[in-house]
Amino acid sequence: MRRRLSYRPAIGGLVFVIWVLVLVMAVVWRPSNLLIWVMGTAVGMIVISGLSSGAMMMALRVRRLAPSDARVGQPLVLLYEVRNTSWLWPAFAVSIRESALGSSQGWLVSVGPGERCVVELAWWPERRGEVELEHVIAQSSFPFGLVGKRVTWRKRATITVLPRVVRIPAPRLRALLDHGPAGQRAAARPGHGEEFFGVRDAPELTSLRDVAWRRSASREQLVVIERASPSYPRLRLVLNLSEPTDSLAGRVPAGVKARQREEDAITMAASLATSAIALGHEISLRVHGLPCVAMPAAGGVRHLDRVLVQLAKLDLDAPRTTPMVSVPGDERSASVVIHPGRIDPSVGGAAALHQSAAQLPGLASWKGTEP
Amino acid sequence: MTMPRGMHALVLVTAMLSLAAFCIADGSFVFLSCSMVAAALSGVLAQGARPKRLPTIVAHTIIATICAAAAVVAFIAGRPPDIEHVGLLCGTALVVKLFARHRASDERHVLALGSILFLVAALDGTDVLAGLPLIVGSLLLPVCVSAAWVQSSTERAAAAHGSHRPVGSLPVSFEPTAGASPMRCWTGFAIASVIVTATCGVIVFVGFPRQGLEGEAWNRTRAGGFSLRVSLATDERIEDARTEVMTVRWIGPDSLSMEHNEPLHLRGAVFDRYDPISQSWQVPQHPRREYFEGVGAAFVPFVHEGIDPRLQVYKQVVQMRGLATNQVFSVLAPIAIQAADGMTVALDQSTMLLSSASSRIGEFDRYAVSVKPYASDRDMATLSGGTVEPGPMPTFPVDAVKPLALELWERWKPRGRSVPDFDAAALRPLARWERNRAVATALEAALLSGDFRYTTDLGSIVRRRGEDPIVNFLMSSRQGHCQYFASALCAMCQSMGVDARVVAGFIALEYDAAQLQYIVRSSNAHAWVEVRTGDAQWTTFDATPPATLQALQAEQRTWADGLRWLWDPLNFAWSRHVVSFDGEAQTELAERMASTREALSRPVRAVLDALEAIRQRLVETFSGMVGSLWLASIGVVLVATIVVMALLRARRRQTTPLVGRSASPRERELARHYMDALRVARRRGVVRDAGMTPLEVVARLSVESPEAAMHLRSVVESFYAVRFGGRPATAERCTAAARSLSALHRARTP
Repeated sequence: MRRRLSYRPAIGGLVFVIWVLVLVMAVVWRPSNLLIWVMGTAVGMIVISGLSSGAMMMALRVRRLAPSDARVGQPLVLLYEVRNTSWLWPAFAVSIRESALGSSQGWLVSVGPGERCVVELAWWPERRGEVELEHVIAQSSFPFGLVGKRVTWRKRATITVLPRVVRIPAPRLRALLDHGPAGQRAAARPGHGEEFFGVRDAPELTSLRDVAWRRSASREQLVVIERASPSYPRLRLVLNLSEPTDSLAGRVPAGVKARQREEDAITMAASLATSAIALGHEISLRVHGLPCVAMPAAGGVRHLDRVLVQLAKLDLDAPRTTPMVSVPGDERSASVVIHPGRIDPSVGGAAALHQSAAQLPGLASWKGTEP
Repeated sequence: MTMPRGMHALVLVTAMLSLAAFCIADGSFVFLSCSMVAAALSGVLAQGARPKRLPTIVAHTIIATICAAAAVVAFIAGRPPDIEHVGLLCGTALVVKLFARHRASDERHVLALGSILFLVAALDGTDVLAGLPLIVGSLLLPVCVSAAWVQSSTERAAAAHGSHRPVGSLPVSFEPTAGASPMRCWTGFAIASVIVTATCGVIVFVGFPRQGLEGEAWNRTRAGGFSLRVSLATDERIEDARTEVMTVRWIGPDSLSMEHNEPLHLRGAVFDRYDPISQSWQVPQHPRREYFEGVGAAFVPFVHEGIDPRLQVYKQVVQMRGLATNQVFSVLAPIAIQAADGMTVALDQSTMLLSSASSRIGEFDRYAVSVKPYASDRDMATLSGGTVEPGPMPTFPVDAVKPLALELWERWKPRGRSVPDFDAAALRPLARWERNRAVATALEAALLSGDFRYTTDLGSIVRRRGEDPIVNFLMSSRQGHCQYFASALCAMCQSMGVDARVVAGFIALEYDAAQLQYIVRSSNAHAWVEVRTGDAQWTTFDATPPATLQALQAEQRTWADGLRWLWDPLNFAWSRHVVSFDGEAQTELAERMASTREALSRPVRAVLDALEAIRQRLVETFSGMVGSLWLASIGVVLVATIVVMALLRARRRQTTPLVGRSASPRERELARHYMDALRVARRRGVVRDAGMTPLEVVARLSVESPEAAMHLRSVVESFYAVRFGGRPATAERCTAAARSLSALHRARTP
């Protein structure tokens, strides 16, 4: 951990210098012992400022607590553990900020000698991707605002900013999933998982409902019924980013940025995935045109996180490839192909439902944030 | 008290101190009373339980309107506002802002206005009543600024906190639930900052070089109404304070205290030349000083022969009360002085002025002078060091005075007897002295005739640009204070070739018959004229109407004079140690410090010698193998003791954040067991991160060693039951925790 102390001029310091100059002029103009006393107290303020703020800042130790992922449009609260190693000086009015996060800062009102506390820094991410945190900066102008003292620690960490997610109403999502030949076959509820699979020895704390009483009676040993695992409806998301941004720019209406359309497409994919997981569906993700790990169909929040992370890591500046990969047929899956610009029916097959990024406002309710 | 309430109270006190300092320095007592009432009211209204604050926009509008009105008034008057008006504006703005205090920035505005008021007070005030609030307020000012800074950070923290919290969520307190509160931390800081500020203030006050600043401006600060300069350039109101400067006991030839048959003119300074450029009188250029050493209770005569000390000799015993000066005030002509051993007195033989030559501040707090008020020409010549030459006839540098003097002389010259003319006076000294007396008497009578009016307020006098104030006094205004009367008389005398000089000092009018002494106040500062009426003889002529002086003295007498015995010593100490602390005082202080250091170094040297002797004895005692072993064992024991004490202290300090400073020994013991238990868990690889509860540590430890986790849980629960559960820290609980801790140490990993 490297630490560096630096000083920054402050407006208060300028005002104070002018004040001292006025005092000196007054002493020369109309000498008076009381004026000299006032000048002495001004010198005292400089001494206090130098002593206290230097001792205060050098005794501080800041540790960034493990940051979580952020999401565009939602605040990320970063936590810092601030420890005052001084046995004498308390610390007051310290602001904590990250060099990579602009002007967002957290405030520490006070921390006593030998104590520690946690400071919150709220940051509103504006775009998805990965943010490299490098320097943690503690800054203070206490006690008089004469000079800003800043201590910088080099602490590297990465925050993944997940794409923006908009709320898609459940009826609209169901209508979307039921669309098309494949979608109509997708079950609306979990099913086909209640078949008898076998029996096995009962573990502790087994529910009485699962006990196979007859078999247990015949075996004289408590056994339970094991059923097949449930299968959930599936949604296959295909994000078609094979068209470079420059060529896309000529196809979008005037006043609309092509890059924004691509971001909207990513937002639509993230929103569909989030809403589908919330409804209990399994989702898979495949991205055309950009290097991205294909995510197999699965359910659950952790899988959703993995999908969103893949979407967050998409680098739209990377060179595009154009493999026309067709979506494998699955009678239990609904397929949705998302295009940033005009719909290309050749991607995803005939059974897929094609959505354009321009349809995002109509698809989502913009008033909410997350299902 | 919470941090915001403490800060509001402190800022209010500082603001009131700044208002008091300014108003007392400026003499604006009406504004003082109004602003104090308003400030106290603001504390109740704006910071009370149900605060009713003035909206910021309204407060700023009021302030802007007042400033605009002041600017218009200044424009109409045709002159820029002076420093007092600036102070009044700032004071008014401060009072308005007190009613609009809402955020930390408002507090900072109040403090900025208060600091301007302190500056104005420091420029104008020398009085102790203005100085004490200024000193206290200037010490509180850094404290208040730092408090406002903390409060500002609290507001910013609240704003940052509110930015990502839902609307309508509960307000967040930034006072930590554990550890030292901000108020407590800040109180320690505030005390330290007051100490540092006071130390720096004293160091700068004592060490600031004043040598280059001495002279006209610096003498202004000498309190007591007396000044070493008579200047007619200013049109300020002269000081009419009732501060007791000194008491004078007048002892007659029969050794009894008595009241003199005429007011005592206590001389402090003599001026014989007028400078028309600076419009002030200058001291004589070639003083002839003789130095005399004090010998305790006995009087030291200035001459040993030629003066009969038994004939018409009076004694004046002076007790200084409110004026710190090296001047020795005495009636003409002093012939002997009683001063303490080692004190040196200088007598200027040309002016008969006495002063302290050893430059000690306020050395002459009490002194006695033997004087001959009716000294003969021979006595004066003896005191002056022998024969005094008549010298050339004087002239006055302002030509316009002479026609006026001649006009008055023609009107008031004695009828029925002849007065030597100028030429005769130039040839014969006796005729010169006779003419001097006659001319001075006539001109004094002219000034006392009633055509000239005494006033202390010169603000209404209109003077043309470049017009000399003496000419203005004689021709047009015909009003002024004693310095104008004395200057006019002296100027007219000198313009007619009469040897005259202006004398400044005090006139003793108020005789306390109960205490048998004169009481001299700062309003008794006076100026008069001495005219040469012999080779070494100078006669006092006072052109100021005595009836007016008596009337003024009677007018200024109030019921508060009865309390002056309480007030004047404080004022005297203030005047002596603060107001008149100048370059000479700095030199003296440096000398005293050097002598003190010398005095202090003697016992230090003695201690060092004693230590050296002890060392020699130890070397002799512990020489050889056995002695070395003894010495080594003692050293080891000492070091071990120090280490143990340091460890105990460190452990105590570690437990303080957990249980507070006021915890009982058993609570501390439990906290130590708790910390030791967590330390053992850390040694076993379970590190407690910030935000991790102890029971989470237990859960993680149970993965490695369920037995250890069980003992850790026991210790944690014991500590938490006392710390947060309100259970008593009994001996059984401590013993159980200690047992669990030792079991935790022994617990094995499966």
